[in-house]
Amino acid sequence: MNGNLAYDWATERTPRDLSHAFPAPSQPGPWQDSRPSHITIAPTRLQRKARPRVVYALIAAAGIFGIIASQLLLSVATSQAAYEIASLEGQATALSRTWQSLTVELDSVASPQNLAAHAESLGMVRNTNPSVFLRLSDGAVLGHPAAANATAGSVIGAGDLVPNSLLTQKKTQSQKAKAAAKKTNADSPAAGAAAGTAVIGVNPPTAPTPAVGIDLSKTSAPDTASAGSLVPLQGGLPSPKTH
Amino acid sequence: MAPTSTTRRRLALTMLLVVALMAVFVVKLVDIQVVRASELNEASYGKRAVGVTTYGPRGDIVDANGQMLAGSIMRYDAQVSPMMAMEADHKFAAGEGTENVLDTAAKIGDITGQTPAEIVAVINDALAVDPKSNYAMLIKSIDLDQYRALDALDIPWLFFTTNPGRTYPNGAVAGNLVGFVGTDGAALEGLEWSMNSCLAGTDGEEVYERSLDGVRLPGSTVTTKDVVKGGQLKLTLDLDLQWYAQQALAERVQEVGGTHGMVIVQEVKTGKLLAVAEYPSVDPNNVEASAVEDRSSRAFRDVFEPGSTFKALTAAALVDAGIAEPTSRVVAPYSIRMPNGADFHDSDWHPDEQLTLTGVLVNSSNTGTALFGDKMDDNVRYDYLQKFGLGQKTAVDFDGEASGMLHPVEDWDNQTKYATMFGQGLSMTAVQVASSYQALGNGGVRLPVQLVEGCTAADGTVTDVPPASKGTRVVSKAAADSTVNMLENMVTKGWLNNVLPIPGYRVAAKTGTAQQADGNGGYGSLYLVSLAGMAPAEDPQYVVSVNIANPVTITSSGAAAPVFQKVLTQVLKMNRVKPSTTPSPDLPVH
Repeated sequence: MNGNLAYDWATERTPRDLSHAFPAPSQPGPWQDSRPSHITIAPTRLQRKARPRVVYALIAAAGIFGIIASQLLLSVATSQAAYEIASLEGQATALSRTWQSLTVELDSVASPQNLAAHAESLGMVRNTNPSVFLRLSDGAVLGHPAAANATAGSVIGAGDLVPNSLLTQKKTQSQKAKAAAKKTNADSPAAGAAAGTAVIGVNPPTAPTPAVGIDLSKTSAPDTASAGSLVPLQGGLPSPKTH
Repeated sequence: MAPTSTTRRRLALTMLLVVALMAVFVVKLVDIQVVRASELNEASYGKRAVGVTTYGPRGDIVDANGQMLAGSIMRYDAQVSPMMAMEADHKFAAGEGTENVLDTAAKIGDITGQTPAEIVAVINDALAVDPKSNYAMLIKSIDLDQYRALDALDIPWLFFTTNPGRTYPNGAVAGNLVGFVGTDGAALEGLEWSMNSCLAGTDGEEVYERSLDGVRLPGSTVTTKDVVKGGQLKLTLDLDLQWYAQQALAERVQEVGGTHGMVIVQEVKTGKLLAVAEYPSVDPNNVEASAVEDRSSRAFRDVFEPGSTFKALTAAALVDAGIAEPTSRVVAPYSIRMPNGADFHDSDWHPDEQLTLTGVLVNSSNTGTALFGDKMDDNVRYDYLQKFGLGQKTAVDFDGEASGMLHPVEDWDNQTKYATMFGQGLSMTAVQVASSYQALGNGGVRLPVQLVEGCTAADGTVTDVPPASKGTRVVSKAAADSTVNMLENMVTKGWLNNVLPIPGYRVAAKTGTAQQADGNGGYGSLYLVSLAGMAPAEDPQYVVSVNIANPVTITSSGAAAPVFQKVLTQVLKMNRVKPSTTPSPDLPVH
C-alpha cells in the first residue's frame, strides 16, 4: 500500500519538474566568461509553484505515517476479532450439537410408543367406538355415542409390542452420564485418595511384574428409572376453560 | 605511485572471487525464486493451512405430516492413547499422579457402560501388540451427553473423533420400510437403500490458514468443495396410524400364535399407502435384535396364495362381463367334481344349497364360485386378473419387491383353472391384495400404489414424485359398486357379523383362509388368514387388508377380524370420516 502511494506521488510531480524546473538555454555571449552578469533569470510563476515545499513533504509524510498506523490498528483489531470468531464458532457448534441432541430426544419422547405408555399410565384409554359428530346446523348427532371401555380401550394392554430401543437406551445412558458427571464434580478435590493397586502396561519401571488387578466392587450399579416414568408429569393436566 | 603487478594480481583475484560468489548467490536465488518457487510456496502454505472436511448430513425420512422417521445425528468415537495411559499409571505408582488408570477407567465406565476391566483390557491389548501404541478404539458412536461427560473428565489420554450416525426416533414404527444403515453410514436396507441417491449428502472440503495457537486467520478460508446436504424423503405413511396398526397386529399375532403378519391401509381415492404394518418389525436403532428374515418388508417381498378374499375379484369380473348379477343363483354342493376332472369342496360340510352370487361371497363357497366362474372364458378372466395387478410389481417398486405369480392360461391344469377363481394357484403380495380392493372401492379404477411423496433436495427442488396417473379401469363403476354391496352383506350377514361391523358406518369386507404351499408342490397344514375390505361402503375412502400367517389357536379369518375392525375404526376416526347416512343394502343370499 505504501509503495503504491509513493509511486502516485512521484508520477504526479515528475512531469512538472522536468519541463519547468530548469531555465531555458540562453544564447552564449563572449562577456559571460569575463565578467559577472547583472541579469538574473526570473523564474516564471509556474516554475515557482513547481518547487517542492516543506509543508507538502510534511503532509505526505504524515499521510504515510497515518496510513501505516491505521493499518496496524486495523490488523490488530482483525486478529482480535479472529479470536472472537473462533470462540463464537465454537459456541455455535456446541449449541447446534445440543440442539440436535435435544431435537432427537424430543422426537423419540414424542414417539407414539412413549405417548401411549404415558397416556395409559395416566389412566387414559382409547374409545374403541367410532367418532360421533354433532351437526351444528340442526344439532343432529351423527353416529352412535358410547362410553369408552377401560379394558377394551387399552392399546398397550398386552405390552408395548413395537420396540424402540432409543427410549430404553436413552433413559439409562443419559442418567448414567448425569450421575457420572455429578460424581466427578463431587469427587474431584478428593480424587486420588485411594492408593493404586492395579498396574497397567508392559514392564513398568517401578513395579516388578505387570499385573492388572481389577476391583469390580468399585463400580456402582447403573441407575435405572422405573419403567414408564421418562417424562414425569408435573402439576397435572391443565383444566379446560369452556364458555 | 603506480601499482605493482602483485597488487594488480591480488586485485584481479579478489574481483574474480567476488564475481564467483555473486554468481553462486544468483544461481541460488534463481533456484529458489524461479525454479522451485511453486514447490516451496506450496510447502510453506501447507505448514500454515489446514484442510477440513465439512460434514454433509444425510437427509431425513419423514411421514406425510413431516414427523421424522429417520434423521441424522452426530455421534462420537472415544479413543485412548495406551502409551499415555501407561505413563500416567506409572507416574501414579511412583507417587506423582493424582489417580491410577483403574480408577479413571471406572469413571469412564460409569458413562460408557463398560466395566473398568474392559477398558483396562483395551489398553493392555494395544500395549501387548505395540508398547508404544498411541491409538486404541475405546467405544464407538456414543451420544452427545456421554461425549460431554467424558470430555469433562479431562483425561489426557482420552480423545474423540466425530462419527455421523443415523437415528430413528420412533424405533420399529415403519422400520421394515425405512430400513437402516450400517455402522459406517452405508445404506443397507429398505428406503434408506433404495432412495440413497435422494438421501445421501456430500461432504465438503475447505482449507484455511491458522495461527500458531490454532485460530483460523480471517479471510483465509477457501472452500474447495461445496457441502451438499441430503434431500428429505417424504412418505405417504401416517406415523400414528402405522404405529397403531403395528401394535394391534403384534398383539393379535402373538395371541393367535402366528408367525408373522401384515396390515395395509390404503387411501382409495389416491392409491397412497397410509400404513404398511408388519410383525415382527425391525427396530432400525437396534438391528441385531431382529432375526435376519425380519429385517426387510414382508408386505412387499413375501408372496402368498390370497385365498377367499380373491373371490371378490372373480365376482367383480363376472358382473362386469354381464355373466352374473348379485342376485344370480346357482346350487352349490359341499363338494363337486367339475367336467374336466377337477374336484374340490367347501371348508365346512353343508347340504346342497341355492346361493346367489352375494350368498357365494357371504358364505365364501368355493363350489359356488367355481360354478359361476366356469361361465367365463379363462382368457377373459386372465385379462381381468392382470388388470387387477396380479403378476406385476406395484408402482412403488420397493427394493426387492415381488411381483407374485399368475401363470399364463395355457399352464393352468384342470385344478388350477378353478383354484384361481378362489385365490389359490396364484400368489400375491399383501400390498397387491390391498391394491386390488382399492380398484373395487374406487369405482373400478385401480390407481398406482404410492409410498413416496417425493424427495426435496437441499436447494428446494423436488424429485421422485410419482407421475400423475388416472389409473387403469379394471371393471365398470356399476360392477365395482355392486361388488362392494355384496361385500357389505358379508359383513352384515356373514359369520363374523358380531366382530366386523363398525357402528354408524357401512363396511364391506371379505374373509380369507388360504392353505399355504408346503414348498413341495402340495399344500401344508398351515394357513394364512386374512380380511380385506373398505369403509364407508357408500363411498369407500380407505382400504384395509389384514394378513396373519400360520396362526395356531384360531386358524380361520376370525384371527384377523378384530385387527381389521380396530384398524379400520381408527382410520375412520383419524380422518374424521362422517358416519353413513344409509344402511347397507339387503341383498338376498339364497
